[in-house]
Amino acid sequence: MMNCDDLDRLLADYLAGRLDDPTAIALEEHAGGCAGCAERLEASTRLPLALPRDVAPPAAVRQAVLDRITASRSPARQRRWWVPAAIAATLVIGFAVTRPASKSAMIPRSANPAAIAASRADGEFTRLDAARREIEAALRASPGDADLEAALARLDAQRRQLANIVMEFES
Amino acid sequence: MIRRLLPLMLLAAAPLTAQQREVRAMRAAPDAAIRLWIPAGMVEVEGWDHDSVEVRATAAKGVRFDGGGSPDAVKFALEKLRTTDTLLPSAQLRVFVPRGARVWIKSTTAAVEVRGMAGELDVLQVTGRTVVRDAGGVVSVESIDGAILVARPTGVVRIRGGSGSARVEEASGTIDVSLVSGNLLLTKNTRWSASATEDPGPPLQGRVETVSGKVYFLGSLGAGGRLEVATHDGLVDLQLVGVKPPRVETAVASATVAPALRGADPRNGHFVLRSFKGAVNAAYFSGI
Repeated sequence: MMNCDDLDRLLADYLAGRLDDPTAIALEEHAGGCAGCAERLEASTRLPLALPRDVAPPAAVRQAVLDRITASRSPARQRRWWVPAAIAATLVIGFAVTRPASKSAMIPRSANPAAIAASRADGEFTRLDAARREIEAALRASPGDADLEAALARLDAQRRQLANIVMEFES
Repeated sequence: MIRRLLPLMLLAAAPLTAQQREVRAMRAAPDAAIRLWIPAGMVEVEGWDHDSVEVRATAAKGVRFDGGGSPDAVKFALEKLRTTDTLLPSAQLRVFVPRGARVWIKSTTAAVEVRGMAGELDVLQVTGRTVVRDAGGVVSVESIDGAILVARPTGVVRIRGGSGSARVEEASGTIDVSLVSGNLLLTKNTRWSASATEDPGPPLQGRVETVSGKVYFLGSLGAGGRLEVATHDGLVDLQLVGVKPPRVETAVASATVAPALRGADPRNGHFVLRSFKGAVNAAYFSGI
């Protein structure tokens, strides 16, 4: 099950189209059920749309720039002028091909209530577990502390409650 | 030409946006069990003084609205016509139920609004918001991260949640709230003032627990009220008003409690606050 940290880690590869299909689908499913990640993903894919497209410089300006470049560059550079252009073109094309086409791509491919419930609860289980570890550490320092034991019991009860809610959507 | 073609174009486009509207009504016992499964969209439930159930549904294209049952038990649900459809079945429902009915609503993302119920209400949610107004019976809302508002409940309120925020306004019964990172705002007797003649109503009793969620309380519990708050590291902030201060007891490392609240008579209201490492702030305003 993917979480917010996984999405952060994989976002660059996803945008570059380097993820395999199952991983990309898992990422999209997580984003479809997590408002924060959906916004982050959308923001990441929105940028290219905001860039101007098909805007050609005026012919006179273009010619003047090309003339100056031709006049000033060395023979070695003449051979390599296309390299950065090719890299840039590859990046732009790759991005255009791999980015989601629209907001609809953010909708989980399998709008499965159980999957949505599990992904939404994922971060809360992490918080519960982190809190539990803190209480356990405190209990090791103060064995038998009734308040800490009560706190531990509360956390366990909360975990069970949340798990029960998630399980309700599996049926 | 365009004028001639326009009706045909509209007809051709119609099936793409078609929605199915229907109204169903059936007899129901005053305490009938009514189950609604609405994955997405919106459902409004209203208690009325008739022994019947009426459902006005507008279902999205590709979704079948189905249901029925006996006067004692009624069930309505949305289903996809094609199992290959990837979206959650969606509809807008307006449901009228006997005021004393036992209503169970399950939803994934739908907005749920309920008002005027005196029986039992049980809402199970993932992300949709839940709003319950003027409920007199038992209200139970379980939601993973949907926002919850319960206004003016007079019976028992039970909330279980994860990251969604919850708000309980002017409760005058018993509350039992458990959230993980979601924040809780409780208000009670906020319209009270020293010169007011208005009856503040029954006191508030109950317990609240969070892990990292913040707990805010504004107003007064009322005479005889008692609220226990336990949190791992969430802030607890009490803004208390009233002629007589309630007692505030804390078992918290970092607590700022107004002196008037420490030794006050618990019969004026009693807060018991526990926190592992969260901060507590309790301020008191009298004679407002």
